[in-house]
Amino acid sequence: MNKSIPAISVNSVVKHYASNPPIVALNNVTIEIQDNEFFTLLGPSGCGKTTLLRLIAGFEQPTEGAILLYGDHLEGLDPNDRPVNTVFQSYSLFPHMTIAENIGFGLKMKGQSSDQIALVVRDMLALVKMETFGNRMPNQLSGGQQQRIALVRALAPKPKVLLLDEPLSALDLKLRQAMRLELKRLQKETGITFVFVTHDQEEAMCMSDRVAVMSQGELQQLDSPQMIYERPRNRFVANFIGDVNLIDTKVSSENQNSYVCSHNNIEFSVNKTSQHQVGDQVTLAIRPEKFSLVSSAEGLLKGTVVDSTYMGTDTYLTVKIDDSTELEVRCQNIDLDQQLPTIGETVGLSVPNGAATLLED
Amino acid sequence: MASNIGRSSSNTNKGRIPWLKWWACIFFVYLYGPIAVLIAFSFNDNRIAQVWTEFSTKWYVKAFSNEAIQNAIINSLIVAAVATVCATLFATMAALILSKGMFKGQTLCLGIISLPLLVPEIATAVATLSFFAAINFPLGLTSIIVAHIVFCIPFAFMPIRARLAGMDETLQEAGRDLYANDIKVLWHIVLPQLKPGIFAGGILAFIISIDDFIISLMVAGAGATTLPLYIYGMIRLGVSPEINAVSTVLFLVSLTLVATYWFISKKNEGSNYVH
Repeated sequence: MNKSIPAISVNSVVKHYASNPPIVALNNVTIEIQDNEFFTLLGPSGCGKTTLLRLIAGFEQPTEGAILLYGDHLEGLDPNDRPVNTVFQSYSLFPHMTIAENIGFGLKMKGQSSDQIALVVRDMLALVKMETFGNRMPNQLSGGQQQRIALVRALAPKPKVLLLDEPLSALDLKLRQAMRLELKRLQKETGITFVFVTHDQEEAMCMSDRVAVMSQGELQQLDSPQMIYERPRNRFVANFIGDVNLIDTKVSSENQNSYVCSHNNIEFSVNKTSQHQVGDQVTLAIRPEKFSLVSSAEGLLKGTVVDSTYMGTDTYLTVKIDDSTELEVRCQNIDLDQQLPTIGETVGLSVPNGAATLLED
Repeated sequence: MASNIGRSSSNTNKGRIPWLKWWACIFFVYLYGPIAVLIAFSFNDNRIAQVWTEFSTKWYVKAFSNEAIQNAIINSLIVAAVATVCATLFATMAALILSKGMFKGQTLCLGIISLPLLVPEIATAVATLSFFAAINFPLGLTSIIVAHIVFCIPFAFMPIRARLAGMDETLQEAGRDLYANDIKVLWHIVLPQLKPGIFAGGILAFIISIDDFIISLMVAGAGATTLPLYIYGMIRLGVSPEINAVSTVLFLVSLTLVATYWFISKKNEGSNYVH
């Protein structure tokens, strides 16, 4: 496989469903997924992420546009002719087959000999540390175990790309966290490109090399988890991932690489991540943990604490800086003697350079 | 007091209507009394069927050494076996096509398949006979088989369709995803999943066929006597204890099959699915 060719190219894909009124599931989506990447499609339900996965798998055909797998057009190929495999949300293990038969099914359909299949099945069971489960039936396994088998069943035929459709959503929290690490390990060990669909931002953050945030059938942002969090492109991304303070400002001056935006005579310097004119109304995003508390005399912002909630690792403060703006501020609880402001107290907030992000909308 | 406890507890209805169980008893006697009498008198030694003398199995021996009865049983088994296999085959194909949801008029098709369940049997019988006469189809065992296949299809169809409707669609997607083409998906995934439904449909068709009387009476040719037709013929000559014995056997065969059907349906309800 040529490493420079993207594993999957989604070129201007449109997907309509003929209903009344017609549904636009995907609206002109273009995405390139690199070889050996852990790629996540993230978005709320109905954003089109599962539709995109089903288009790649071949269960549905795009209305317009094309999907390429390592440079080859997938158009007109049935799911059984595509070297990609899917891990389904409901696992979909074949209930009438043993675990070993389930894992070997793909290879059997590809016409491999039973000796070869037995070897692969053994390796796959070892990969998820379930060596002794080969002769059991799916309904004798717990949810987490079924999940692991569904995973290796899809990995057994060595697909070029593995598609995962919210595979962790049916598991309880503890198991889900363990499976995240396991998935990441499997991706590194097998070197197979993973395309993971989820609505859970935490899942997306902790496993992915890159994340595509989707909403209403459109790609909102495609970046590393860090950039998605630190430099959200628009209001949707800023709100969907983590908590955020949105501040209405006006562009007051422009430099080569930055704008100065002001809100009630408070000036923020922000990178030119999108193009605006002096005088435009723009929104800035600042994450709650970026602020630090200083005395009310110093600091860029000054305000009154109106609420304080102790959350264990952090204390969440709500600071009112003017009649229309309340900011959420997160202070880490480093030691017990730490003096935190009380409700009603006036505090100063400092904002490090580059903490504020200019949004497109 | 017992009924008070019954009312206050939300998950038990015990004792709520105390006389209900007596009604149930009367109902069961009403339902199964005649059959119990039939079975009892089949073991009666007396030549006159309705007068009890002592226990004996001689009517069973006599009935089953009667060549005419043997022939009737063989005819019935041939008809039921062939009709069951063919009807189940057609019903399976119909259920598979209708489950795809690919064409217009699907609801109409479903209605047409299920309609024979509601049409009065005598109407079907007369219609079948007229049809055979119109196309000059010779009446005999073959004509009975053809007629039975037709009316067994909806009975075989129902459990198969129910099973198919309860099947997880993504299993077929998983199969296709794992390199199985449509035929292989059908063979390796759909049919094994459907097996209990097909089996139940087959049993139902067999029961319906083996004790059918009206249609068989119309379309049977000379020498093509099935067991129910033979029993009817004997009864016209007076109730003989032999009939009791044969009827008892027929009843037990049906009972066994119904029980099997019930156990299969019961098993289908959960254990075969992955949760």
